Amino acid sequence: MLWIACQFPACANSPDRDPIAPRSVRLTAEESFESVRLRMGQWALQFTPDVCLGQWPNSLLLEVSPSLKLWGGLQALLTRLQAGWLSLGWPREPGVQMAWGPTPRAADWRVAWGAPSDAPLADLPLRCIPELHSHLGSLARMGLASLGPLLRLPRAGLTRRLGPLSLQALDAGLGRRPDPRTPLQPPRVFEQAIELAQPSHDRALLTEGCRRLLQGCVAWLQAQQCGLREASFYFHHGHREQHLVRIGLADPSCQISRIQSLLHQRLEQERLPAAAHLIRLEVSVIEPLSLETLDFFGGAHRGSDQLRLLCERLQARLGDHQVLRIHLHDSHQPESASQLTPLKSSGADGHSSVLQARDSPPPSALPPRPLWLLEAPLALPIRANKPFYEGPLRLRAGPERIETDWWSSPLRRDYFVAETQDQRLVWVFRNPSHEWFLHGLFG
Amino acid sequence: MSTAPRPIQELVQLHPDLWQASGQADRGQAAVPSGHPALDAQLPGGGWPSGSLTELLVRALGVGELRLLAPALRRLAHSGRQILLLAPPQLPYGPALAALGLAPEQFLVVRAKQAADRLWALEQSLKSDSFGALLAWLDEPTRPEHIRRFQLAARHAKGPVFLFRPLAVQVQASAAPLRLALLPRQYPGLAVQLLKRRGPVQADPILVNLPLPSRALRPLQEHPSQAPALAPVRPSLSTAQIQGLGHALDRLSVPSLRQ
Repeated sequence: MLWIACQFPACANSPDRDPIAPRSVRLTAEESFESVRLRMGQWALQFTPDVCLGQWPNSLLLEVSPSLKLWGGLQALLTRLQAGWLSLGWPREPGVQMAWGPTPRAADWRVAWGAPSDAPLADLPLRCIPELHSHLGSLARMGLASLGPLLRLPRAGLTRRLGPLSLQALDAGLGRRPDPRTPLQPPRVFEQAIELAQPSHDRALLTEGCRRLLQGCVAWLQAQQCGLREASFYFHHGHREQHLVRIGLADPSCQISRIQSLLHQRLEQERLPAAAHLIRLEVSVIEPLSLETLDFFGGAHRGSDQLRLLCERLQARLGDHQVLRIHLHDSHQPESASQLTPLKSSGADGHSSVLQARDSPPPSALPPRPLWLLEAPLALPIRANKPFYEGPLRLRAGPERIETDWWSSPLRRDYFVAETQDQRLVWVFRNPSHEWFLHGLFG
Repeated sequence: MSTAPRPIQELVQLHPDLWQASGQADRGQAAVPSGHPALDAQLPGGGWPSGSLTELLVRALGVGELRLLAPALRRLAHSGRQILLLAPPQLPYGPALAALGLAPEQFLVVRAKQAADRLWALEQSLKSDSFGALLAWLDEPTRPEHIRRFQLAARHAKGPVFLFRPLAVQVQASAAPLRLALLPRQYPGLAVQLLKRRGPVQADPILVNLPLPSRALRPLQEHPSQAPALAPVRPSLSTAQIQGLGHALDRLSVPSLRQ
């Protein structure tokens, strides 16, 4: 067992230096310190599933012995924690104090003591033991200031003077009694807000605020080994008005850099209607992360991952309806035989609508189809009895009668392959009223 | 300095970017065979180069550009990689792609309305190196420094990158190491004019046969007189023009084209 105790400095508000509210990490004005501690606990859940509240009103306890190897040893973990506290907005001076011990109470005592964590516990000042606080006066009159001399006193007398509870606490701290703790549970829905010192339009500031929210969110995801597919950022402005910026990911992820770059992309495009004073992040749907499978030969797997990331980035900036796949449909109407459908963010887009080549005739038997189809047929003028497109057209093949949809909007067209003056091939049709239209280009 | 001059063969071995003006620079560059032997023989590396830009100059859409690329795209799609179509001016038509042997699900179409978005999307795609081939339609004016930037970004790409640009930009300098003009000829022909390559001047256009997969259309026989002779356009270029064009490193073969 190895417990790390973290004690947060009493709120030292210095909003003048940090425009994103709190050096004190008190994110919104109405948040109590207890909830700040809980939120820090939620953040710390990424390092170990055993996080519980400490004896002191501002301390957290982390049981790290099972995860030491994962984080590269105690020192590496402490460095990581310290960096985390700083990036969460805690000041460097007075910083978050950390100490460790073999039991939760011992760690808690040591963090209040402030001495190095390998100092002998016998020298621990009695004021660092919360259960003895009511007896500090009488203990001092007995000439007792540290733990060692206290423990050398006869136990029966001590129990009479201090009460059995204090003795039990001492035993628990020294590892002579079990000391069960209830670990914090991650909430089911992530919802956090961050208040800005003053309403702002500044993208850099908003991005930084979102980054801090995301940091908490990513820790929450890591604690559950899940990833998010969608995150909703609400920018509050004015009175109860909010502007929603939603980002979607192609596959569940908890990589802060990836989510952040998408958000950055979106914020670049987004016009906030007014200066925001509060940013709120909501994530309700999460999915378990699938572990990365490594391809024996490398290559193709990585390529498809890269492609997914690229599509995600393109969709974030250009819009979901600008990244498209071509789907074939069984239809006689040329326009609906091929459709561009937005790429589903799931990445695995269904092939159900794709026409199977099972009984289709060989391509050479089919009438010619153009590689480029005009979005809407272009009406062509007729000059000297010939359809005219950049010059008179010469018909090369056809007609191919396409007649369909008599039950709804009847369509009857005679398609021809025609050659333009500069010898390009185009696809034209004539409708029953002998009007000519350009419908495609043979690319 | 009494050292004997090193033979040219030895010098050429020094760096893959050095080549003799009489031969083609075909070392150290992966290429995808174009599927047209006459063209492959003239392309440095024996095909469409991977990891660098290939500019295809066309007067308008529909000269046969996809039919020209189809064999190479088929080969790339076979390896399971996606083909990106960036800002095509018209809708690519699935049944026709299928008839060319290209599975429509291998294609990804990216549309971007604004020019800045198009440039951004192209750079992002080049950087991501996730495609089998990238076909991008740029509208003009695209500044030469954009092309240079794309050429740098394309260096790490594993597949060929084709930029479609209007014929008018042939007088502009471009950082793309390979520039071709595609000129429609009597069906099923397409004349490919090498404007710039890492190799000697190739003034005569290469005629490529690009029949449609359908048998309904046969080559015209009836008016042989109408078919314009495939007269090579001889370069008539003064030194001043060459300097003005700004091609310092790569060879410029033909200054201007007539259709």
